[in-house]
Amino acid sequence: MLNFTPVEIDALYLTLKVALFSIAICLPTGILVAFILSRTSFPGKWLLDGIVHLPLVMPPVVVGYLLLILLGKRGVIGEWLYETFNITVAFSWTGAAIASAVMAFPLMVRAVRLSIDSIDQGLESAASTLGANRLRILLTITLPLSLPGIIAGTILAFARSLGEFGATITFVSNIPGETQTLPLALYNFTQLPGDQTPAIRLLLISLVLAFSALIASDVLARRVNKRLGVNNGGAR
Amino acid sequence: MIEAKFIVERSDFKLTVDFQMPEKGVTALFGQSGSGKTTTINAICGLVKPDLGTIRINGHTLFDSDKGINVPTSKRGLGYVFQEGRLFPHMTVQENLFYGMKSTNISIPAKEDVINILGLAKFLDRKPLSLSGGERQRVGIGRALLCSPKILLMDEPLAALDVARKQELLPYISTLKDILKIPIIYVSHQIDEIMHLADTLILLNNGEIVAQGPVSEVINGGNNSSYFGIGVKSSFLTCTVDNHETEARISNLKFNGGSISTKFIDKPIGTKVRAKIRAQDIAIALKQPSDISIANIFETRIHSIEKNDLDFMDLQLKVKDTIIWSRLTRRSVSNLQLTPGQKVFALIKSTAIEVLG
Repeated sequence: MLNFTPVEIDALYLTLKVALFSIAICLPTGILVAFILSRTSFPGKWLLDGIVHLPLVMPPVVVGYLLLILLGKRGVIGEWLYETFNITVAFSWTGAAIASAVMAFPLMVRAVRLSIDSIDQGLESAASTLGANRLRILLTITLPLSLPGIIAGTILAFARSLGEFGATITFVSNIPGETQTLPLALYNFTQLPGDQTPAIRLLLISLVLAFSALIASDVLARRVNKRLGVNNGGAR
Repeated sequence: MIEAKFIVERSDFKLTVDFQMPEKGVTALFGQSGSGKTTTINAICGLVKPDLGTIRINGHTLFDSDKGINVPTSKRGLGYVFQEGRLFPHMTVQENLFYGMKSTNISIPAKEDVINILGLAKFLDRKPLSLSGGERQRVGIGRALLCSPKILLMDEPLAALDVARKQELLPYISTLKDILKIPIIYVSHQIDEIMHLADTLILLNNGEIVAQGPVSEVINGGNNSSYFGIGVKSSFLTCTVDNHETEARISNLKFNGGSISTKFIDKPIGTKVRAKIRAQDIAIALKQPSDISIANIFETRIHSIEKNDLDFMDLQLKVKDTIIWSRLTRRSVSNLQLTPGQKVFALIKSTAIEVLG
């Protein structure tokens, strides 16, 4: 059971790589957008809010197709990327990471924003009376206090990336070793007649992965809450 | 010198202030909730932007609407103690204390002095959540002082505390007031705190300054009593400790108008104190009485007689330049045929005098 087949190893490795890159994209941008949505007001803010949340309410296939139109080799941005930098994300694992990131983004933003919203702005005023400029306030007060939300958002986004299917298969197809992540490989095996063992093995791997992420988030959240001097179990 | 002259206008509220503050001592901003006290100090430290006006400290302009000057809060260099403490929950007491401290000017006031005066040494490694309300306020005061502010602003620092915690914190603030070389603006709607601490009083009502001046003048002044609550009408004497009669357990205080005996107070000779005498504790005699237990008898002149809402009469008396109030029944006033300008004797029992820090 513990001897993974090459297909499984490829899928597992690719899934983790895609999820981690997706988080790497989501985390800084998500925190920035969450901060903007929580602490600024400007005309057209509703539009930004809407666009951020779009992937949450649209069918994943639509998101994938939209990405293909924008970032595909003949796409609006994709063609320019290809001609200027010779970069193409369509049908490659980077494309899968982008698709995952887009789908996970609203989850990240929502979690972080809720967390920033709940911080007493009086603490930030207090910091400014003590001579801290806006950057220092952000780094020493706002971000540390929103850490529970950042962790929750990261785990949510990570889990979302592990399970990403619709947008990925539409945007970058189902290429073994390149874009075939766990859910896509599992889907492949379920489409084949006969022995269901490979599919069940993949299902178990997915289960273990998801559970590990959940436990990791819980441990992390406890530790952070202890550091923040609050004491209320998890932050999920 | 603090010069503030500005207007803050909101849809349902307008604050108009114009005052100057000395370079030392405690100036109290007094008024009911919604009178504009907190908005005033928030404007001084830049957390609220006035619509019009100027704010200057020691000749340095912090805000000027005409010239478009608005120094950000972080650059104003003013200390602020908040009503709810506002300690950073994720930092230890020590990290909170040193948050605003600049490495260049840690000497004044020295770090250890602040920690010792406020009794914070034993909490340094604790998190704010594990402290009592009074302890948190002490950390908040220390934190503000350690950034070497030009002024200390205090927004009802005792309001969120129960009576016991208030009694515990008040002495710390009293001590600071004597030691600090910077002015303090103290916001409160508790007249007792102000009588303890303040030198100057600014009385705010509905967004306007209705009176300002030395505390005893504003509180003793005739027209302001309604703001302080008519039931507590009192006189305030600014005194210095003159001598003690240790055997008799009595202290004699000097004030601008004479000498007054009180119960023994444990303060060195020369200490400045304030004496509070409730108006109903001062009796009036037409002739100098003898064979009487009352030790404080002053020859005074009736300045005015006012009817008050409690159906009593309040007599404003002048002992030299000091105003004192006596509250009598209407019957007493008519039996003695008291009229303004008349010479009478004011009788004050030593045990009725409350000496404040």
